[in-house]
Amino acid sequence: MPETIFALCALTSLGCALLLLRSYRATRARLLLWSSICFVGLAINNILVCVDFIILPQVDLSALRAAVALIAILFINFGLIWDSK
Amino acid sequence: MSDVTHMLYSASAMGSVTAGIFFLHFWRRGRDRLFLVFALAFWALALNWITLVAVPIAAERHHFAYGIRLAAFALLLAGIIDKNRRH
Amino acid sequence: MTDAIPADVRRFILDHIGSVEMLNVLMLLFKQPGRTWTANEVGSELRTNEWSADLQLQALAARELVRASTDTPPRYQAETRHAAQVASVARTYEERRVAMITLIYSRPDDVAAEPVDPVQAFADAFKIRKDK
Repeated sequence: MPETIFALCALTSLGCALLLLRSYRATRARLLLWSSICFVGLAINNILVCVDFIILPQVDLSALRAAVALIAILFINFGLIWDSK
Repeated sequence: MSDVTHMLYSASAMGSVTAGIFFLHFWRRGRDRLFLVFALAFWALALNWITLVAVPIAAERHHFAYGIRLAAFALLLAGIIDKNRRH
Repeated sequence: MTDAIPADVRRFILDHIGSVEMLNVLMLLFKQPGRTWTANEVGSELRTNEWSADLQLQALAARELVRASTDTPPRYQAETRHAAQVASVARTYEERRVAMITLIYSRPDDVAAEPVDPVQAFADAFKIRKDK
């Protein structure tokens, strides 16, 4: 059950990333690129939780998961600060 | 939880709060209600990470930990649906 | 390297063209100058999404390179007084594609084809269908 939740979170995040990427291609507004990467990162973070608990339970991926989340958050902050005009 | 992981989650939480503040600012500048939703969603994510760090037994499996995460993404979905209904 | 591109074509690109997609839409409309197009038709023809095509058409109309009708959905048509210029641009694009692409994307961001507010663009990105 919790794994389903994380998968759904990953899908939502991916959806946001795709919408932003599509718009970036048309407008070339950099903020959209950085935000898109952030959402990809959040999706990966959610997928890694599933991987951590189901596929590789013997390995502790928590440091990797946390690192991916932080990188994602750094990207969106960079975009919001640098490229929001 | 290792110190490194602890630090990484704390930093993510702080960053998420900051991102939320930006989104709140955009909402207040008379723009889209969507920005308010994003602010709340990113703050929910921050709360999710703070919970993992602050509550000793909380692993992601724990229902209140992933409940907050679910709320964050559910908010995003709701915001997007609302945006498309409006326009 | 960009010396290979004629001065008038350079000027045109720097003044008006923000992306390869925009150029493709422009060239498509000028290939059949008598014909009108909707964003949907342009999207199918160029195998891009309608949303993007709509944005490019609006940008081109804003620069008066194409004309928009008042229907819903709007039908776009090439502004024929630019035909010779666009033909020249299209020819150069065929002959010097790499140089042209480099030129298009070398434009400094603040001279963008359509000055876009990034925050507005962020919000608009989440409109799933552009014509909503």
